[in-house]
Amino acid sequence: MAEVLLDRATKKYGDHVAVNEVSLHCKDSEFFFILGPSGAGKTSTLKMIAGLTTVDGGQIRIGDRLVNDLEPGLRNVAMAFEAYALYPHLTVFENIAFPLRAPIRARQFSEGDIHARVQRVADLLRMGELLGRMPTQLSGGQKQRVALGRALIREPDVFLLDEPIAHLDAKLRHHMRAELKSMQRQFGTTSIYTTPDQLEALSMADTIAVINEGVLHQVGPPLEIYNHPADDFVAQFVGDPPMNFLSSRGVVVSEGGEVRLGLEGLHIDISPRIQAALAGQSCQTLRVGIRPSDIRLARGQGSGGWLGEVYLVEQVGRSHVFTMKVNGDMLRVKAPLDFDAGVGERLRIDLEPDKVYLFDAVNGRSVLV
Amino acid sequence: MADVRLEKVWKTYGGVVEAVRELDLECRNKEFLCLLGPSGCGKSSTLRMIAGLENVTKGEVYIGSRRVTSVPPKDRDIAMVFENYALYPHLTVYDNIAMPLRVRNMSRSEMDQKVRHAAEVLHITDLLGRRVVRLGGGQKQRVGIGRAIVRKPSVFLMDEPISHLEAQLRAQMRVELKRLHIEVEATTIYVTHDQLEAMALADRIAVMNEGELQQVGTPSELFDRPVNQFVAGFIGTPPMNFLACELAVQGDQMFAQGPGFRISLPAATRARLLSSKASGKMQLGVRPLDVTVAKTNGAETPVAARTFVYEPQGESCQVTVQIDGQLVSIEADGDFVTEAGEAAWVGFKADRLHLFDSATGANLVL
Repeated sequence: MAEVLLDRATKKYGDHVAVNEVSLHCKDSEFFFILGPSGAGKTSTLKMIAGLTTVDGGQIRIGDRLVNDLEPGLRNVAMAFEAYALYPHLTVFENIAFPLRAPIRARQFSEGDIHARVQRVADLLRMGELLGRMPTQLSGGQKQRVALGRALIREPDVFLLDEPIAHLDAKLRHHMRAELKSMQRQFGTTSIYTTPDQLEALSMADTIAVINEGVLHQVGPPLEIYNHPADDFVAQFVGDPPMNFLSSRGVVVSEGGEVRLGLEGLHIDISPRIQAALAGQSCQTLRVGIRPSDIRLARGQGSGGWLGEVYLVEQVGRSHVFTMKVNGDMLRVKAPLDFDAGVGERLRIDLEPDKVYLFDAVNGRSVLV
Repeated sequence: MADVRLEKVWKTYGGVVEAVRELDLECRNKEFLCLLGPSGCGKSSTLRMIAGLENVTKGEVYIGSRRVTSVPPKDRDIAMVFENYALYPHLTVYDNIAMPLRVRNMSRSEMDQKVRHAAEVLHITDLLGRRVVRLGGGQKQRVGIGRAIVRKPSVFLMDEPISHLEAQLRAQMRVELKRLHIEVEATTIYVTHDQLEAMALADRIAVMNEGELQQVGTPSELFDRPVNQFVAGFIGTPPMNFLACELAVQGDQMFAQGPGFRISLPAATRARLLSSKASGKMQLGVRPLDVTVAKTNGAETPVAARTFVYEPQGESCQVTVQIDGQLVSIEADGDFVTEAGEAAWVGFKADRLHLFDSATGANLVL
């Protein structure tokens, strides 16, 4: 059990800064996610915590220890990779027991101890009946669980998982997400998990840190990240289909004590909450974002709505995803399956006044949080 | 423009491995048909037989009214787009697209017009002068498709053309491909293992498994009326829940019951099960969207459960509950909040239930 603190941690590869002064606080027994696209610096961050790469600036603490220069073996962290690297000639039992039989722990555990520990881990991973099998007799998800078991048996202070389920197929990933989240709760081990998959992070995390190009963009619980993205990068990276951004820029218009959003060629009603946030804004131009699920499509004329042309309709499960051509932009809209329309049809587009995301067009920061 | 028909087509390798077994399939004129299935299901072998890149072991292939079973690929009037685009890396985009036309000795102005039209449809006009080595993955794929379009083939064949692209680009290319089909109106047969892609693109989907055709239908038909447990489990994410159950009759009521649950079946389902004399062990199938969850017991939510995992996902959430030890996943609104260990009450939308024969996998309520 331990918390992990990064204070302006920096990793450089030659001239390239992979991790740029990232500060994070992962609390004791928390399930902490580092989310970002490939090349964001996720794995480099994890490797610095594990001690598998040097720290080129800042500090890393595990519990109350500064670990910058501590050998990996002395940090009491366990790392599980996407490639499970099981020993093919050993049974599941022996694979899981392997770390307890390592030379540095020679004779530390009796055979009885080892059996009890393996059994406990295997029960938690719900693979007690697989202990006698060889790795070749296991499915991808089962192999992944053995690899996790081998990491868990050491009872590490901190558990590091580097995209552990990225290579599994969609269905298995769905099951493993639930399994891993449940397991982490039961073990209560502080865990740091990297992933490029926003759905994985939203689903499983207590706290998410979004990073891109080595820079930390936002840290917070999943729904805060989703509902109140700190900048336009987080907004477009989290959510599927991704947030729409309008090409025309918005401006803050104040008239007779009333604040509204000015937008070339289009009108958007905004809620009192957003008006209040804009009232004190010094920002000159705004980038306007709208989530596909916050747009309603309708037939016929209405007040205030926009008109758009159906460019394409796709079925996703029991929903329709429309791509609408509006004022030169392509907007994606999520609609119920029973709302259907043909390509080329003109539809009214209604927005929710409280579901408009506004970002400083220059630095990308949200003007609403 | 043409339809494509396969009649009792077999493909065996080395006389032993039956890759495709007695396949009857029709792709209608101007239709977008997806061949969908896991790896090894026979979908690529099928496409390659249509293209003429593989011999047909037994059966016949027709394109339009013409039997093409023994016609060489180049004479079938088809164009094939692969995942690896096989472009000429040191030629420009223009020259790559023009390549099939140059071989035909077409006039320069006619060729130019065709190349520019294809580029326009694919939104790559501003890339025409660029060399292929300098393009990104999505751009290369467009060039590969452009080269196929200029030939004006009767049939387009595509084998996983976008499966290697990263998620957001793939979603964007999906839109472009479907839009392209609407504009070019060419009969298209498209192979994929990704059910989401097939659902989004296809007019109709043919689901295959282990060399056999399982079902052909529109995306909605496959989603809501799967003929068997394989199709039911393969289509849709998160996947359908399956729970072992048996039928019980009490008065004029019929129930599907298993450990921890007993669900009254609607009259239409009951009638169908009675007429087919269904009995014995079954699998109850229900999509996560068709399970209701609440914090209290009620008419809609009569089954006692316990939350195993709660996963927020923004506008919706995923709740995995345990019903007498069995895991059931539920897709609920984003504002439903619970946590692991909490009591939950669930209900199954009776008109959305499926019952599959445990032995054959057949859907008994269709």
